[in-house]
Amino acid sequence: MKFTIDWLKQYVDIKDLSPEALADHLTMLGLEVDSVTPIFPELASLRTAKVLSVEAHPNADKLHLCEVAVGDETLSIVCGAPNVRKDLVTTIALVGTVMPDGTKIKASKVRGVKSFGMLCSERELGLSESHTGIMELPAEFEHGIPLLEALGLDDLLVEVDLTPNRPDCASVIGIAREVSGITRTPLTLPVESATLELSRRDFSVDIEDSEVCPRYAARLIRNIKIEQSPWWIRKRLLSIGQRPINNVVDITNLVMMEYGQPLHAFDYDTIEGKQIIVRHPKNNENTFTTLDGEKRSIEPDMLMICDAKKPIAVAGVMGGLNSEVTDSTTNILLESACFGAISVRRTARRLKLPSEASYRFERGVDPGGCVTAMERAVSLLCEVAGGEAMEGGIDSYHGVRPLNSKKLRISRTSALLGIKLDYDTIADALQSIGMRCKPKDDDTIWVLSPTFRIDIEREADLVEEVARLIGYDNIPTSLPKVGLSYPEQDPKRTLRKHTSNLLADMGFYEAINYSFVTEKHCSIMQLSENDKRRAQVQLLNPLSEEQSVMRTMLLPGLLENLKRNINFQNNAVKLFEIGKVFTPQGENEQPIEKERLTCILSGQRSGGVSSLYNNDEAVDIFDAKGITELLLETLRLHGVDKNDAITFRTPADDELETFSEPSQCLVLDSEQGIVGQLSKLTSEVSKEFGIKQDVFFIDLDFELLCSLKAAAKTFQQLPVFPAVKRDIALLVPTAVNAGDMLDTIRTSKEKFIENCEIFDVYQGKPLDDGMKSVAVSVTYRSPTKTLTEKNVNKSHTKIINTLTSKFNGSLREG
Amino acid sequence: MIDPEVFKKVGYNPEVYSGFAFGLGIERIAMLKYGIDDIRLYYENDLRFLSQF
Repeated sequence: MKFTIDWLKQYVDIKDLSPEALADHLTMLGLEVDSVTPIFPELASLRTAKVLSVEAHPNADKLHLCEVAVGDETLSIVCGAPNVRKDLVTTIALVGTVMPDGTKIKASKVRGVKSFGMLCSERELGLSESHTGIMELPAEFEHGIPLLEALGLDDLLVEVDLTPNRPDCASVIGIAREVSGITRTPLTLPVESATLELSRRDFSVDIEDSEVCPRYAARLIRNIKIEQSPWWIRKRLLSIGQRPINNVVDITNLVMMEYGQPLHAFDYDTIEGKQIIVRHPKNNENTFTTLDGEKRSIEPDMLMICDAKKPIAVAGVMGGLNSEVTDSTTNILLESACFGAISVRRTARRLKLPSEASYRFERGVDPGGCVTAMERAVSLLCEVAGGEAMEGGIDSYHGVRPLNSKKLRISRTSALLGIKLDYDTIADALQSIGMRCKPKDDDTIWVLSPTFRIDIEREADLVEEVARLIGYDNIPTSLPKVGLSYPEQDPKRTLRKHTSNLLADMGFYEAINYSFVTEKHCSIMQLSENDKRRAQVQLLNPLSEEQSVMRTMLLPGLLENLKRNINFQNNAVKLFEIGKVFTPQGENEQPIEKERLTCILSGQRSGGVSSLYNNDEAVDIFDAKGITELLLETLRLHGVDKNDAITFRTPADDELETFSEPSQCLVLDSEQGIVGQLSKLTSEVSKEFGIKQDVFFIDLDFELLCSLKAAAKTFQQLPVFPAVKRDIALLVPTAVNAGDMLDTIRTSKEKFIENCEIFDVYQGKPLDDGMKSVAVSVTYRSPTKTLTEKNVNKSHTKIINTLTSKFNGSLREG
Repeated sequence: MIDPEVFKKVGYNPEVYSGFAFGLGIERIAMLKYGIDDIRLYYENDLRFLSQF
């Protein structure tokens, strides 16, 4: 909503309020002022000038040499305008002025004669389309003063960012009403209120559905003379950035800005049957040409204003070309109506035709104000455009609901606002904006709000008005009293924090990706046709195809992040994300949300920086495994005792992910099912993402992980007796999993085994092809005695025998 | 302040309960604190960004 200070002053005395103070007051009242700026700043340096003498240019027929007075100065100007004449008061752009189109005025020679400035036309100043000659100002205007001052354009434009609940303020008078509440000065309105004599018989109005058109008033004005509006009307429109067109159109626009009531003038002589019918289009009415000349397709639920035969306007949005006011129009039918907000909004959106009228109807127009605004326009049309208003008119208001008083409790108002209020304070505040108050009992007030406050529906709305008018600043600040207590911690959240910290300590960065992803991820990851993750929640109104479904995996997002980092020359990437994946349920059910933890590792282990003592190598599957083990050990889910909640194993064929390298994959198993996998990404899938280096990932069901019971910490007695360590180097076929060998040792019946670990794996010469050497170190200890050579040898021999027979191996000599 | 209709929808009696509702996006607070000028950076997961925090 835009208005100027000068325009506002037409209706209300703003007393000694400065524009800035006024803006502050309005903002505090809930009408947020966006800006206060001078209008036409580009014309600030233009001056008025008086032509003293005019002579013909010696070298050009159409040019004149003029002596021009600008205050104390007299300047020689070359001017080509046909209307330049002695004693004309006009406007001059002095040397140095930058014109609205950007050209800078310089002292120049025009056909051999020097010129010190330029006399301007209205078009050159952006004030009208007129370019037949230089601007003609009233003869009594002083010369040498700023043009803006002379024209009364030294005004300030105020822009208010209206909230949708205040459509009544989408008008200068609406703002003036608020200001009158601030300054407590009465409003001066051009027309206070008006009624219409319902006596016309020469035209008719029929409303098909009063729900979408609660009110429709119309009057006939004859003998209009279409011409340019007088300066004061054009000035108002120009000052808020509107282009004046002709007196009739300008008056409808001016009154809309004044009263917030959109008006439309039809050329009465184009209306067939002299009938106005407010209805939806008929089946054969598919297109309509609006007055901007665009042919638009119309739909059955759009509301149209029609005559006996055809649509002549889109209700509340834009008039039609077929009934437009033209230069030859003499009789007009003036419409002042109220259309349903939802209907207008839908229509304006679909036609992509937002207008000043639809802006107001969409928010809600006061059905009580139609005739008042119309009366204002009619009197201007008669005064300015020579019209003769025909007695009476038509006013159909079947859809206007009667106003009811609402109850407002003083105690409730006080309680909600946190200040003690009495009847007088509340009534005084509400009455300042035109509400009527009457005490019902000690605590209750009957409040009748004016028709233009269509937003006031409930007691809470009245309480808000009281708060606004008393001033939010006048409500004392106090801190709420809150009892101190230590809130219960969500264990999952604690675990999440713990996990993130641990991974960050291991050199990972935490990633956050959008839950909205492209549908293509499933096929890029080469998921099989019956993979459950192919079922995705579709967005109803996606921003783009790239964000059209909700993710069922975290890995693709992280792979995109990896690619991005590689593109920016960061090849060593360790990222993790803890986030939700979404599985759709039945038609009316919410999708299931599950939290997962996914890590990716790729590139050099130490971030590409070789240390002084060892070379930085690329990460491999053991990095992924080691990180997983460390995480699970810290969470006490693995590597604690024989009853680990999570164990590692190689995947069965049907468990292998389509994007996992079969030879480098481990499944994390628990009693409650598979927790997740760690693996190398297949190079086919890496390539889909444009990644050429090896990628490893860990993908875990974080909720399942959180639900597993961590092993309790219990103290182990410190051993009293010494341990004995024995190494075994076994030659086994390469297909044997070294981990299985460790498991065999750990689960063997042999007493005294305390620990066992692999310390070397070797493949290559001089070993035979297909064979590898696995070296295991076994620690023996007894809690009750010092083990003898004999005790240990017995156990150790048994273990060697078990291993060689079970894994088809042989003891490696030497 | 919370609209009484909102309370009704979630089964609280607005005659008994009243409240305030407000919130700030955590990204915007961090933008002010650290002088981050583009909110999209948070979701690009660029190591040059992540490694600064």
